[in-house]
Amino acid sequence: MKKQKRRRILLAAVMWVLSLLVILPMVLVILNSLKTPAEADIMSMELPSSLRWENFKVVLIEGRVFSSFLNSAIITVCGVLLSAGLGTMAAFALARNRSRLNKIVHKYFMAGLVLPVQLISLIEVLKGLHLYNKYAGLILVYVAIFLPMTVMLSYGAFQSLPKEMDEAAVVDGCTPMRLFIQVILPLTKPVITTIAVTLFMFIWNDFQFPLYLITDSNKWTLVMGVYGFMGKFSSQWNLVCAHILVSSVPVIVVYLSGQKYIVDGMVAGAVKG
Amino acid sequence: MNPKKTYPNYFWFIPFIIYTVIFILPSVLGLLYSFTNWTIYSSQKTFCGLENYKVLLGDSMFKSGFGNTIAFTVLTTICKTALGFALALALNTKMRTRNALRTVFYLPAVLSTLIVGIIFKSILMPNTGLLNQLFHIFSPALGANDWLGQPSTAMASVIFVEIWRGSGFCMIIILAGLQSISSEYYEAATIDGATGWQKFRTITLPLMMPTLNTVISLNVIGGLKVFDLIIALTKGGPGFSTEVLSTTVYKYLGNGAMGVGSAANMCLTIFIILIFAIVNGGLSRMEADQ
Repeated sequence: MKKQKRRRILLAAVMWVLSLLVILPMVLVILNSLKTPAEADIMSMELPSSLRWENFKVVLIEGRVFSSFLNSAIITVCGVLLSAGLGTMAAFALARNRSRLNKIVHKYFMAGLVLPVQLISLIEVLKGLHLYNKYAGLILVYVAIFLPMTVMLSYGAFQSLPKEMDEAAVVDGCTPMRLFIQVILPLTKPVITTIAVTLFMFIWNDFQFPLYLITDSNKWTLVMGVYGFMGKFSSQWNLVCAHILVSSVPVIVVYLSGQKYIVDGMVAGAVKG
Repeated sequence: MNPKKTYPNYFWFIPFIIYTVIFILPSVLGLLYSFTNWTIYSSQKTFCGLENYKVLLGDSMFKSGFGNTIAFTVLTTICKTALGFALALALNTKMRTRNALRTVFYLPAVLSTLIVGIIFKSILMPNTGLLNQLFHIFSPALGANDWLGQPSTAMASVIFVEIWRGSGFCMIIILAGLQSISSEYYEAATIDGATGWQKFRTITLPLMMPTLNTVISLNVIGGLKVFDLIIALTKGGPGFSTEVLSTTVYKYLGNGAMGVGSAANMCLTIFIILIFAIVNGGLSRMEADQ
């Protein structure tokens, strides 16, 4: 037994040494976000001579982080609510009423799990709808591309709920909408949380769609902001690092608070659209 | 109870419309556009048959993009799955700080891919990057490499960054799979005197096939679609050495060649469907054999 215990401690030690590979790059960003431009010129692991909190001030004003933060928040919150709301509603009707039409619709939705988006024609479609370069357009794109994943994740959960519950509610005079919101959603809270947290991470971190669909830099999200900032201040790594930190903290907080749900979601088959 | 009344079709109708207009319609239009000579200079889209696809076949950017996409997908999928499996096996044994370690190894998957790319762009910088500072201690010659700026090392560097980013994600899925295996199998095997390797080969591996199928499929699809990481690290350069299919689409659009770009995007789509069918079919058969 003693030998086994020693082996476990050794394994933990080895894993922590390995984890440095993950931790060091992140520490590098934190350290350099507090350095002077000259110090950050060499991106080293040395401690900054003095903590320059002004870097964050510069980023907030020059990098317009504050307005990008708002853009990201609006797009992500609306995207998550709409995708999760519409997707779970659809999945509920499709899972419960398995008519021939509904089975076909379900298959049709599932095709989007594999298909990549045709970006050039998507721009055309959005231009035609006067939704190009607008938040609403980007949000609708997220609803469309994450619909397959949302439906897939919630479909199974709805199927495993007993149907008798719906019957009891309907007999009591419950409308379909009330049945869904007041009876079904609370019972499937873990899956709904998984979906919401996963969508939050995908939408917040997304780069490709804002790059193609938002041309006005006033409407850029934080991640787009980092990219633009990088082009403008590529030699000032201290500022780039500060910008990276500001952009990453929200998603890390959401991850840490929803950690146990994310894993379930990923396992259930997080097939990004 | 009338199911049509209790579960009305209008529940799925709005997302159906959004999905059809924003996702499926562009796919159909993309196919049509790929047969037109649409450019930024002429708003007219006239039919030109397979002309765009012929252009792609003769274009060295597209050809390297195609090859690089395959290389990237195959190598990152193998390495990430293997490394993720190893990490999951290690972190599935009882040890202290196990949960903290799992969180740390998963963290890269939480960050935006673009931001990971930018962080590594700094780490891989020729003279001042962290990697070269480390190498410099051992061998000054190695420490002078411009990892992302040389055609010979650029693709390998990009693949390395993707492995850094994606292994933790694979680990988490594989861990969940490992935890679903009943410990009774292992107990029975121990009584029969099986060695660790025998247990792995005859219990763990066969029972993990469905999970590995998911992990490999996800990695293959993600790898074929790779875009953010390339844009952040190299933008496809130097030359075309890290060009992939989705960056070629972006570049054709940037050059105003929308018809050719649509054709390139269509090639990516067809390629993904084909590979997905092959990988999924092959892996399911392996599952059945086991």
